[in-house]
Amino acid sequence: MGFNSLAQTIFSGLSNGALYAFVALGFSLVNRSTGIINFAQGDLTMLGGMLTAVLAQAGVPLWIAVPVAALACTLVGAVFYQFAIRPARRATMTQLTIMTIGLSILIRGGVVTEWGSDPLSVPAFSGDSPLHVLGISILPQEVWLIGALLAMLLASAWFFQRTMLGLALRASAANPIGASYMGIDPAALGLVAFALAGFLGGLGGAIWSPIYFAQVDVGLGLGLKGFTAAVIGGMSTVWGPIAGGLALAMLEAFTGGFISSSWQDAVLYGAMLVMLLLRPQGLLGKAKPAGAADQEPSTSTRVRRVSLSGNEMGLLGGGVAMVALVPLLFGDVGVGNGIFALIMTIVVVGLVLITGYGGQLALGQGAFMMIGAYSSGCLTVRFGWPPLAAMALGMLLSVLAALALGRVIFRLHGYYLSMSSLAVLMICLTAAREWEFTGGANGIPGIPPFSVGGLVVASDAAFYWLALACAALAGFGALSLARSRVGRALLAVRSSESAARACGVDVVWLKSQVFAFSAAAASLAGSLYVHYLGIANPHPFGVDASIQQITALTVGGYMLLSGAYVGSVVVVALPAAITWLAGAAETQSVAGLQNVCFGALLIALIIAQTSGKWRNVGLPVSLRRSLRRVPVWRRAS
Amino acid sequence: MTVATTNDPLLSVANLEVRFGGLRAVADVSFDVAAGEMVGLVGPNGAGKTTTFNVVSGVLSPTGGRITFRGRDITGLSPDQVARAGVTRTFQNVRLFSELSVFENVMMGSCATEPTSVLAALARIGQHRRAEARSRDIALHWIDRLGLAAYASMPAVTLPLGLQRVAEVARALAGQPRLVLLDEPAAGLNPTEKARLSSLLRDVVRDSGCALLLVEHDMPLVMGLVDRVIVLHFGRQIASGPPAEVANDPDVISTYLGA
Amino acid sequence: MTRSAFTAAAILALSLFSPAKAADPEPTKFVFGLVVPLTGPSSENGKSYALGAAAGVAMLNEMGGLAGEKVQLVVCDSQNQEQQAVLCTKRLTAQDHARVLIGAGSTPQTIAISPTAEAARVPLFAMCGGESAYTPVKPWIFKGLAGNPDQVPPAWVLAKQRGWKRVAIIHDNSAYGRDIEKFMLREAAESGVELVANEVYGASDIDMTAQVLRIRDANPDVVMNYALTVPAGAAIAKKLLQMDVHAPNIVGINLQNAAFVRLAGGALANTIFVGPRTLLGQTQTQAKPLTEAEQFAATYEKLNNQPVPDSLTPGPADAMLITRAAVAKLGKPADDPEALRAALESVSGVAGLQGTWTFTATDHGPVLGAGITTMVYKDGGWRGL
Repeated sequence: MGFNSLAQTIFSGLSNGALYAFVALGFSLVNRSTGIINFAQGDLTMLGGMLTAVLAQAGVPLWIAVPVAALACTLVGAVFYQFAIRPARRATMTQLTIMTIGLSILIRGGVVTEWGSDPLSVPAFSGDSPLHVLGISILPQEVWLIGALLAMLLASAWFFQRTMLGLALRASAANPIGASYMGIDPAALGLVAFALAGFLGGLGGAIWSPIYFAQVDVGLGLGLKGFTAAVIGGMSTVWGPIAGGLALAMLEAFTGGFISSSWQDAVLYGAMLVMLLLRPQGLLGKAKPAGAADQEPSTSTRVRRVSLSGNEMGLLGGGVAMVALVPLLFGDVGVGNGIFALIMTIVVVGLVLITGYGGQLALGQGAFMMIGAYSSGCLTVRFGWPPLAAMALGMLLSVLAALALGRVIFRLHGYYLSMSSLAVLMICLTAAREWEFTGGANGIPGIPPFSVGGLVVASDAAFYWLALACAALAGFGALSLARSRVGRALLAVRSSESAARACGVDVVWLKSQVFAFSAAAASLAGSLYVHYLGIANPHPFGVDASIQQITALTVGGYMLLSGAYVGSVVVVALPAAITWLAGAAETQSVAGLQNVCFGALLIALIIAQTSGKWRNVGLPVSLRRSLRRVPVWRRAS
Repeated sequence: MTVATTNDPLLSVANLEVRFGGLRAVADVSFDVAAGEMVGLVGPNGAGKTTTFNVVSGVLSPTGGRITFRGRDITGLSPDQVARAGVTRTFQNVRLFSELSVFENVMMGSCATEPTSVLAALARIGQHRRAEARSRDIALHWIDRLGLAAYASMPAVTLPLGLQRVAEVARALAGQPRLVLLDEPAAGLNPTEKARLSSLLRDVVRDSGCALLLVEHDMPLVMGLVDRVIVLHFGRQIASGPPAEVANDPDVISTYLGA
Repeated sequence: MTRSAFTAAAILALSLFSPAKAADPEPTKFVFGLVVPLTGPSSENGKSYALGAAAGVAMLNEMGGLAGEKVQLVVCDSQNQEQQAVLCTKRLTAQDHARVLIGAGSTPQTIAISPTAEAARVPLFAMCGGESAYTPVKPWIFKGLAGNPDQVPPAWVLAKQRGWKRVAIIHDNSAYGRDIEKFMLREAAESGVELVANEVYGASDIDMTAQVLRIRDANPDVVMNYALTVPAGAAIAKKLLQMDVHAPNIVGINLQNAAFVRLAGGALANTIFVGPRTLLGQTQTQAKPLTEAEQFAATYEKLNNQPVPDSLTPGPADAMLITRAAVAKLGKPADDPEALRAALESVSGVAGLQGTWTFTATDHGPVLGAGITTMVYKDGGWRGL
């Protein structure tokens, strides 16, 4: 590569780095102040660009459009905090993070409903003709972006060091309880944090969008890159996200420049994984002092759990029987919906254990689904294995992978599992797409229908019952676990990990085992999926699928196994219902409307589930009744 | 339950040193606890009592010294390994499991003796069911013994503090330990509750034969309860012996100013 | 919340399975079912297909329908997902009683819906670029779009004609991009023109500086930019301009539309489209339409107030014309699926919009030879070269 091209590559890394830094800044601001992982940060950035584009197209001059867009995004952040995060009084960090996923979906849906999913061109601030400096071609807009970032950097430094509000934010981040004793209202701080995050996102998006375009699909990717940058750079300082953004962009540029851009994703997320494992505080972050993890805040009085008595088992069995009737009552479409709902149920059942009971936001189940999918695909198509054996091998591989991964990830705390699982998923997606053995981007077509012995599952109805059997198996397995000492131990760990360890629970091993169960379930689901479709490719297993699974989990009630099915049905069938209700409305708006519904549903449900008004959304059994099963302890001894 | 008699001490702490950066929280502390013995660890705030506790229970790793339990070196083991070895504990700020009832909390204690395995739970083999039954029996025994029967099905955190502490003790005992570490069990209790706790602990030691090591600020309580007292001050051991002896030790008196 | 409330919720959940409102086709209408992505990154293409199908149906009805039966179109949005595409296909065959299917916009999704079409015994015309959708031969699946095997070679023929010796290609790493790459490499080997750069980018990448720099360093005579999505293609075009790569740009079928023009802006100078045959920009030139192509263009323009905007639009209409020829062979309304399929399989020399179609029992995916059309973007529109 010539010197000129090298210099150009470095500069483009700089300008992309500025973009990632904007996202990372907003992201780390929220995380430091509230502990929440704001999945909507990328979408706020997208929204800033979108609003600028729409306003500019309507004739509003840029110097008005940009601030208005930034302000609107600030408002979105503030409103979200005030009406979504605050009311969810007793939500766990995981649930609050899920709410930000809801916000992300809501923003995207809103944009599509209002303006469609077509990309829009945004006029540059000072023209398009590139400047030529030292042989490098620089777009004036890139200068604006880098300049704005520097301005934000200075402003942040001043804000956090010199203003009372900034100091309060830092104090609250370091020690929320202590800070509240000092009279700092955490609610006010949270509002400020989210509002600022909205502002940073909106401003960054508004300034960046002339360089690319304003398009609804960039939000998710930006968000992922943003928090990868925040993890790499470290979130405990103002410089960390900036450094992280730069480092990420440089890594991206040089991977693209010297290796191949096809592996960029794998390199970036691999770097994040390595950072999480070796230096969780990031490049510029400060390590948490030893023993800090022991200072646990007093546990909340949140006691919401279900266990099942004989009556409920009967109801569940009845439910299964009812579900089994679907192919007989509904036509092809119902069965098709039903099959996909059951497949998703299997994955969600695993999530109930690891996310619901275990409190670990697992966003990478698609990776295990792919292990199952490709095991089934490769082995049956290329080597003529019987489908059952291929499926079993897939499940075994997933279990082993989960155990190995768990051993490493569960040593860490906080947001680490969600990010690590996402990183693993992205790496697996890249590998599946680039690797010849998995058929590359085209995948593996021609997968034979599922068969056991000589019995071929040929018709839709037969496949439906197969999926139902698998779902029932997975469901009852998870139920056994939830009701056993494993479930109890998971809840104990969630209440107080240190006390659980003092009782003799090997927390890392426990979580790894439960993770392995969820991996086996996901693998089973993946195998079924490809046997039904007849083709295995990476497309259906990406981040969107993870978001759908989390949505299904939340709709179903988060810790309820029967809810896994109800949630999956809603996620699969609700779009069709909305299409039907919307009738002849413009198709783009309908798709947007579906997302708006899901986003709003996610947020509303978590508020309902955690603010105490709705106790158990789902199969309700009071704690007392469940404990009637406990044998009489007044024994004559 | 018979008391196992042996000449070797149950717990042996030797030359313990714990540094935090430049600060030495614990410096050259050595003491033994014999089987079935009740030992009190006292001293002013900052003396290093809880730090010592945390090292013995595996939460912290010492920078120097060794801890031997039943002949086995347990220095630097993780808390769950220590629990499985036979040393359980309670916490200064009661850490009961808020999501579980009292009964379930106590059942959790048996995780020290019964493994928590997903495979076993799924296969529902007889072994798992028997392990559960054993845990249940032990939990019921201790709930009964410690007078918690009326509260067993209530969420643990709804109990008054005194009963919560008792519940934590029951949980610690459910792990069938040889040694229980009690971190300020009487903190926040009124005199009646303290007296009750004291007699409970005495009964427990007599019945089960396990040893007790407790950290306490309430001097009368400690002096009236334990067989031996160890006094720490600024991370160093300044006295050790039967309560009466220690109470008259001039160093101790000057430290405590009329304790 | 009580148990009864939960039970009610569960029943409501099950009721979501209830069939969505059917398009209420009359039994005597011949229904074409269209499965395309109307939302998501490929929505431009999906909309083109949908509008083209609508014009095709109008044209067919003007021509008298199919053996006396009126023709109707039902469209379903696959949302660019395999799962939705399959559900759409089920709905179209089971509820809307489609007798011919057209879809699904991308090669993997087309392959995903093929088993459903086969199980329902409804012929499917593949709307996708890759030939793996219809090769090896599957009885019910037919080629429907002048895809990659037709789109790529003419570009190389033009290069040879123009004496362009150094060719740079850039494509993404999706199934489409890799398929394009396959055909590009094949052409490069056969034509004797030198391939100086083969650049890949991620399907959702937002910055292609590295790839464009390498193209610049390779100093090509022409750059072939066959992008999957319009933003990617436009971003590349703009970057090529910014980096002073002045070689002419040949763009693929997904970029010949108004959206690309809008987004690429000043980077459009020097952009060429090459295809086997195109109705791009074709308007009615004579008083009485003579060919199917002209009739289609006229019908389209009447319905949409603009000429045919891109080369994807005629795709579904071709499927309809082929069906018309097959039904004409049957001589009666196409009630029997197997008879329709057999008739489709034996059409020969059908003059379609994208070329001339001939199917056989062993070849459901002929290469459509019909000469090359070359257009360059000039003066605000596509003009013949």
